[in-house]
Amino acid sequence: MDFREVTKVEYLNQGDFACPGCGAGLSMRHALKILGEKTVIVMPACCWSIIAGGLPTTALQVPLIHVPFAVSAAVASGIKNAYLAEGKDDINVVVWAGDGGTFDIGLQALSGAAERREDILYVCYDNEAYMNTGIQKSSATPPGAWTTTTPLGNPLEYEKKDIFNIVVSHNPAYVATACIAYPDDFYKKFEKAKNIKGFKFIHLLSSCPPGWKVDSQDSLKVMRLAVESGVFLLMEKEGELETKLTYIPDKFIPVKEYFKIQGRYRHLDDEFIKKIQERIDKRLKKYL
Amino acid sequence: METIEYQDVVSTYDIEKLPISITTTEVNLTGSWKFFKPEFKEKISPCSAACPSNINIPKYIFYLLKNDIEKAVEILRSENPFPATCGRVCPHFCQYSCNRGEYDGEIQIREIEKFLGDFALNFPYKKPEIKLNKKVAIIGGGPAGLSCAYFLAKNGVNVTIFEKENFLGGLLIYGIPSYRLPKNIVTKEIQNILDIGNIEVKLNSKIDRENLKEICNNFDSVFVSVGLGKTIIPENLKIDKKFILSGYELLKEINLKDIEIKGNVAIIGGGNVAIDVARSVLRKGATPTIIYRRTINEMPAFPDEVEEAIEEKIKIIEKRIIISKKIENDEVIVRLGEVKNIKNGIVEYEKTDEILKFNKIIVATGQDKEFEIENSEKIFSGGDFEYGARTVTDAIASGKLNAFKIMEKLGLESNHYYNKDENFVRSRKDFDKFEIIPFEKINLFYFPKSESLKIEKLSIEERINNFKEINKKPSLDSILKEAKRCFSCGVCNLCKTCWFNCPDICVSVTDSVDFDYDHCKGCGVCSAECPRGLIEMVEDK
Amino acid sequence: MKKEMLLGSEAIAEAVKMAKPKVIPAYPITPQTHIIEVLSEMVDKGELKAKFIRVESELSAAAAALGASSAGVRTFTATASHGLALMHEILHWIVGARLPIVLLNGNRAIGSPWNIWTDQTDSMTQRDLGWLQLYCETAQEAFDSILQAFYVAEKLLLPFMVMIDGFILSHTLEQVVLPSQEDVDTFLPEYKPEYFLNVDNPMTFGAAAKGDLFYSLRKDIQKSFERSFDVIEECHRKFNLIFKRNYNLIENILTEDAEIVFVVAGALTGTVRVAVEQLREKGIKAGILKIRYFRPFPKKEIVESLKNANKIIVLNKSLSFGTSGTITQELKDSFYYSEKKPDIYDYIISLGGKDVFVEDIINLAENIDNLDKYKILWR
Repeated sequence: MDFREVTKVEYLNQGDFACPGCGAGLSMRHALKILGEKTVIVMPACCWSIIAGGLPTTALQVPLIHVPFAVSAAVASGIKNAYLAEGKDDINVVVWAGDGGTFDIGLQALSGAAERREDILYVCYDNEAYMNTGIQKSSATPPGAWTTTTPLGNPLEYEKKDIFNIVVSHNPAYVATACIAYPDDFYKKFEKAKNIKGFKFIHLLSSCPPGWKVDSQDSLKVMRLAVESGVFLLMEKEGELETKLTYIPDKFIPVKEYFKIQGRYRHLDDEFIKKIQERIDKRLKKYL
Repeated sequence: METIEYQDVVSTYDIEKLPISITTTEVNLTGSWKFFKPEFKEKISPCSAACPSNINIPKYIFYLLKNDIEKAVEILRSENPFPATCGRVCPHFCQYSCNRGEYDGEIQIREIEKFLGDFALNFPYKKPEIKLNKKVAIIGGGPAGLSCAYFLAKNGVNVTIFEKENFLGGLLIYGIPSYRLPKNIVTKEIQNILDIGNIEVKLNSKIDRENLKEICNNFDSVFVSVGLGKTIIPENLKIDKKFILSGYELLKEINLKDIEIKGNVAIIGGGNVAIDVARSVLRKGATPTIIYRRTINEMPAFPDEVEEAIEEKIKIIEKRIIISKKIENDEVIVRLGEVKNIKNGIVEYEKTDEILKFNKIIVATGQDKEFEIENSEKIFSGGDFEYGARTVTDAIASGKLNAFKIMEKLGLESNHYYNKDENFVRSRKDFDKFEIIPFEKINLFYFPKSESLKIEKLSIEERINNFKEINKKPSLDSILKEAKRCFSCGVCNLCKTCWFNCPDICVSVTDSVDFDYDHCKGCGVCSAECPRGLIEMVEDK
Repeated sequence: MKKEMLLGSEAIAEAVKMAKPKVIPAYPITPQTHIIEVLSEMVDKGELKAKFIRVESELSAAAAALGASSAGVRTFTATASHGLALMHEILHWIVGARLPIVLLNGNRAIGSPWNIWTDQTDSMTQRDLGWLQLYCETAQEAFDSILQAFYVAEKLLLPFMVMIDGFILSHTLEQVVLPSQEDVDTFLPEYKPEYFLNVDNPMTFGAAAKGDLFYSLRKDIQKSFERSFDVIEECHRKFNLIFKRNYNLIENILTEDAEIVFVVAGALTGTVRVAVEQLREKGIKAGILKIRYFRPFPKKEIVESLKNANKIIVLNKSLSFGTSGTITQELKDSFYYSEKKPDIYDYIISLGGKDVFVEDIINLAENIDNLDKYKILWR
């Protein structure tokens, strides 16, 4: 991707409260660049509730509404319907929710909106735990990961909820996973989601340097390792088409490489890592 | 920065305030969070460092890709006035050190240089704005002398070139066969240099130790670059100009006159002259055999040339020397010895039964200086004359270096030229301050693997009976594609990766890279992501 | 103008239709379901040009209403009981966001055990939210109150909850006078808020506020409630002008000379009216203070109305366990600074739809000397 061709227009202000190197901050910056000024962001409780700035400041140059934790997809439905009732059909109503607000507490509203075919884009930036409250396990936390509520590591018998396929099962217009460390893929998917009518869902892997215990400058690198190791698959499902991987590395690297640079996996022994590797290999077989 | 006041949304209803925000978060100076801050530091690319002329290769590639060919040419010629020539005959030290070589094949830098050099043939130089009251004599109008003349003339110094032949160019004209370097390319590049002005040329002026003194009196400085005119002959051979010839002289004759040479020809030696002679006589219709005292792999000639000679089915006899010869019926009959060991120039061999017949024997075992010069503060020397047989590129670089030494000696601003060059600070002295970017500093994510440019050549049949240039001209598309592969190690090409990846919108890339330290949180993503290792995190005090 | 026999829920649906909301998110729950059934039919037939969102829960109903109202359009939703309780978090948020949503609550008990019949526990336990609350006695009042609710809510930028008693009002046929659309439009012009989610004038709604700012925003809400009396009065005046029906914060029925006054909210008022008539025939000077507005609570008007009463019986259909009937608390609070303090009897008249008969009310008045004013009274 030629970054020189990316629009210079910013819809994000400087001085937001994201931690240094926040993957969600960068993701928002570019999502807005793609979605443009005719965009309304709906934000449940999540890191971004803080990042976006306190009253009377705001980090966004598009309308933004903060809403309670469980209901972002429902609020977005209300907004979209209000616009439609007024004959405004050209506004992107976008939910910007964390993994807790999506995988856990917000799942019902998400399911409802998906089932109703609401013409909204639901973006889940997944940093794999309740980071805003100080790193507690969510159902997006992968096995092995340390959080303050899984101090010995998330048990092996748990598995990160397969949100992609949960949403796919609602048969919406568009479902994708993406990651800002793969900008080309990221841009293409948001561009697509912007232009498709109906319910769209994008699952973003979003690094959290303090929560994952990685150096902030490796924020993009760690996401890349997740993709290169097959821990996080870049894929999409458009309408009736089959799910397809949108990026396949030349050769998948061992998951150990991905774990190695993160403090949250430091306690894992080889036996545990081997089992995770087996799981990844098994899952890859389904898609490759 | 403009200060921004906090604004409340005040209602026209009977409500004092609404929970609505319109003030930008820019008021939060998040720059106070950081412990480290990014700093932009240009580095040296390994290709630049390896290039004897220290050409800023990534920079001219940058301009080429920007479609600003004039600027690319300007950068290229600011270090070397012979890009079309070097684009053909330089042994591309740059390519051997190219970081991409370790990854998926080095950039074919020489091809890009050739492309630009050919383009530049029709670009005249800017006339120098100044004319100084200083005179420098240059003895020898070969690549070193012409390069020195170019850099002096550009800086307003009056130059007089004394050339013993009736043409300029030296080895470029008579030492390198046309199939490698067409003459018209060289003459055009020389003409471009002369067109700068400030240069007087005196042809047919052979200078030796004697008349050098007179020149010294008439000029402020003298630069001697007369090359190596004397052929080194093995003890058991003697140049008779009939059966046994000097390779250097023969090459000169082939290049300047349409001489005939047929039959079986033995060439003694393994250097560039030996290979050039062999390939030239092949093209004249003779059957060359190279006899070399070491193995092919040990030949000092450029590897690609040896390879091409082998392609052309030139016979090379390794680890042999001529141990005896006799002349019978217009043929030289030689007996070979097998070399067992070479120690301090002394060859230990065993006699063999190998007896070969040749029509001619060409000696290409090296060249030496014709004369020595006295030590004098006024006299500078360069090229092969100073350093021994090296490459054209080395000669050109030594001309440049000496031009600056001379200017310094003459009390002219020695850095005048460098400072004026906005692209890069390039002098040996300043060079040391820069870090050469190693392969590990390249962020490979931004460089998907791709094949390097394949250079198309004339087929063996198409080339062995003529002196047509072997390497074909690549298409513009393939050159641009190759240029795009360049990592641009340590040299910013304004790719905007830092800008794109900054979560805090604190990097701006215009003609330069700048940081907004008021808001930069010091995450270091720009530094880690820079594809070419230009941004460093330093402690923020 | 026309008269029709309508179920309470139909009357409400008609009122909503005439108020022309743009978005109606709703989730079915007894006894409110009728309302949204009728509304969705109206929408499907094109009689009501609104988006009906069939959400998957009341939580989402409230949330979708929050979204729609934030986008600047008139928004209505309806629920009851558990539904209202499930909405609770969002109901708070709507107040803080100053969104004039109108919600119809069909009063119903909350389990456990399951019970679908009427009491006022669901709405009374939401009294501290910052929603205006109005309790209706008849289908006509419910119709009128819906229109008034939009009027008041949009003037104050506060949400409005209109209560009807489940089944008693929602499922009973009554004669309702329906005004012309033109008159309704005159009374209730299109809602055009100054600030909403507007891509042409982007703003952020609900960003985190620090204590001092949060405090002042909350103070503003209370100030709006204080000012609401004027707005409500203005609303009633205007309503009367156009529709020729007069309303007040409270309704006084024979309170002028009454010695015993029943304080009641909702459809039970009808039963008490009959009882009071019979008591008057028996020579007992009884009266009724019907509470329409529970929020804001009209203390001044109540104390003024009850200035001649010595004994007050509060007929609660909800209570705050561990203290007293919900309306009783409010009433007692109202009298704290008045010189004359009547005896106030705290009666829990019905919960979970326990039947109340006219005789029950008459008995209360006749036996008032045996009642203990210091205790919660149960039947």
